[in-house]
Amino acid sequence: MNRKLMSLTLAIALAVTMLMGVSAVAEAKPFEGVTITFWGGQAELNPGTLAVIEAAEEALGLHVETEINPGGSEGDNLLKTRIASNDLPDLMVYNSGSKLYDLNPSRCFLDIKDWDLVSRVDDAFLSSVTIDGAVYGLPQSSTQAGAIIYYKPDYEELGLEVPHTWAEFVDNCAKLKEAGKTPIELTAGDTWTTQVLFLGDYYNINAEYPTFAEEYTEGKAKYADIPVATRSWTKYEDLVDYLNADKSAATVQDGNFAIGTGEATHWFILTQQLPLITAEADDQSQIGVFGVPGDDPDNHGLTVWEPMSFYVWKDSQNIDAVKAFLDFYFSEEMLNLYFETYGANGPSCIKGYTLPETVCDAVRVDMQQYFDAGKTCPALEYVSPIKGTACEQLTTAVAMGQMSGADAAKDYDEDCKKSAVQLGYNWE
Amino acid sequence: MEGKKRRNQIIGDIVGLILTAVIFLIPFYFMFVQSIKSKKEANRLSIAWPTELHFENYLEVIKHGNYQLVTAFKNSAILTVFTVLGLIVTGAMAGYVIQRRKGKLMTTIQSVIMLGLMIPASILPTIRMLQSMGIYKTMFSMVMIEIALQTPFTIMLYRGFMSSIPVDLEEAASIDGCNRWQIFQKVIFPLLKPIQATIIILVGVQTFNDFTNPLYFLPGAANTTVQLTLYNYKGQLGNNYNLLFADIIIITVPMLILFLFFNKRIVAGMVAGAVKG
Repeated sequence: MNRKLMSLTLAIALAVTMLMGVSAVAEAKPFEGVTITFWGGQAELNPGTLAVIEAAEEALGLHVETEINPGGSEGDNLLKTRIASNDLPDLMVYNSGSKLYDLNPSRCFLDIKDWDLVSRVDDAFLSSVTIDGAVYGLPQSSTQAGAIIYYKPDYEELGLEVPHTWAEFVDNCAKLKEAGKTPIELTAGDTWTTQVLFLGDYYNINAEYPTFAEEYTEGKAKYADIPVATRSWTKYEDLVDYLNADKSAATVQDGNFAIGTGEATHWFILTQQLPLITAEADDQSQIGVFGVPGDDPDNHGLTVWEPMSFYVWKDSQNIDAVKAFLDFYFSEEMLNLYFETYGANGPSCIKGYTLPETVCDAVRVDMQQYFDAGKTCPALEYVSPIKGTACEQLTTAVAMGQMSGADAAKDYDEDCKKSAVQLGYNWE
Repeated sequence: MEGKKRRNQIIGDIVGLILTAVIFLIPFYFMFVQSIKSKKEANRLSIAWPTELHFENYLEVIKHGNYQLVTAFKNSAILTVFTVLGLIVTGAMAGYVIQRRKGKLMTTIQSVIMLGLMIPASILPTIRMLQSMGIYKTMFSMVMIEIALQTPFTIMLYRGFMSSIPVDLEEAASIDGCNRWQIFQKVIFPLLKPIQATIIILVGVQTFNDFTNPLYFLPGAANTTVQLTLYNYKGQLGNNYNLLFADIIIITVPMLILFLFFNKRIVAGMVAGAVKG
């Protein structure tokens, strides 16, 4: 008896599932049942990306399986191992620019120059993912800048103006210090952050010495010899008196908090931190951005970094599905969804796309004006493959006042020489 | 005089207990407090009690990424259980034979095994080998790798312990009519209990906490192990400390239970083999 009951239940269950299966087929979506694997770091798998993935699963019927990459040097090792064992995810996110070069992308990533999407991306980004005529990447996020992020209420309180020259900037810092504020946040606990002033100052070098990148790559232009380039290093010296008390131990996390709540007024940092800083602030309009000032008040610009890129595995079984997913990702509606959910680091690299109203003023107003005026310049790492490996140690030493800017410039030239020789350049 | 000495001892005990509590309990308290704060508050990493409680952090961690943590726990549990089982069975037998038999062959085998303690595994050749065998990215291969990596250490522990078991027992068993297999199974194996506990703990914790090996040898979202889930909350730009600590606490609990359960036996097992070589 019992057995009969059991088989009856099973039979009914079977029938029901089959019917459900039939009804699912009736409203078939183009990629029903396809699973694509997606590999990214914690920063890329942010709420914005996850929201778009969810919408894509809904609309296209495919399933996106996300896998987390630990990032940093561990992540790089892992990626290189997986490239060597020819086992990559269908879609992944990694740096554009010189780090892409290191991977020798032709052996692992799909050349997507024939895709329609590529024509919608601006040229500055494309040049950072184009190697030997092949295009490999699409922008995962928006551009960002190495700039000064500041706490606006302090400026309003003391009636300060956004500085357009370095002298004005130092002047502002002095006034802030007099008023009992901490003018500058330095987060040497994460040493990479100390480089931002040096790297972000490249706009000013380029403005005064347009052939610098070229001559530097050939080994002719030296930081210690060209005054405007030496300035990138000596600027740190002017700031030693204005730093926060916990400068040597503070981390990026502390910096987000210090600027968001007005504990400190300025922070030299990449604008990728903006969504995290505004999350700490009472109101997003309190946070502003300006480029590292030079000496010419009429030419105050922004040094720009390109975003991380999406790359497609060459041997993926699901290239069609990945392409459909990316087409979907770059639809206006989804870009809006992404930027509304997560926020933006800077203006988008998609031609003709404007960021939604909800993106913070720091990006939509403060940064956009540099882009509109054409006063932007790509960071040196996108124009020259050479970067000294001890850069962050040197900038930290100068920023902490342990070394003079001129000495650091000399040391850095030596350091660059080692990198250049390793890359096969003949510097003499 | 006697009373004074006794009093000093009690004071010493109390100071010791307080120190232990400070050293071991405060980190736990710290993690727990962060795990029930809001994101903003937790990012400040203060030890203060939260202004409002957010126990839903735990729920969020469990639900994150389509219940990724549940999958991860399943994977880690399978990996740990089978690694420990495999090592206990093979390690005990190998340790027995190596300790009881003398001769050139055994010395050679033993030194080869001990080499494994010093020589690290190379990643890419292993992956290539797994690929050619068609078992790359399977739980089976991961268990085998963990067993292979921890075999030398296990055998070393077993061998040391084995020397404290008198040979007389085996002779007696032999006279009573046991064959060799029965001697091992019925006499020796049951006597190994203290060292089994030590190995279950050491190997279990090591395998459960292993981060790098699963990262390289067992990639793929479906194969995530618990340690990898921590990276969902930790990144270059900023961390979600509240969720990170909630995740850490959830992950720590199973190992803590295992430890409390076997705690007493560990020291016994470690010391037992220490005197005789």
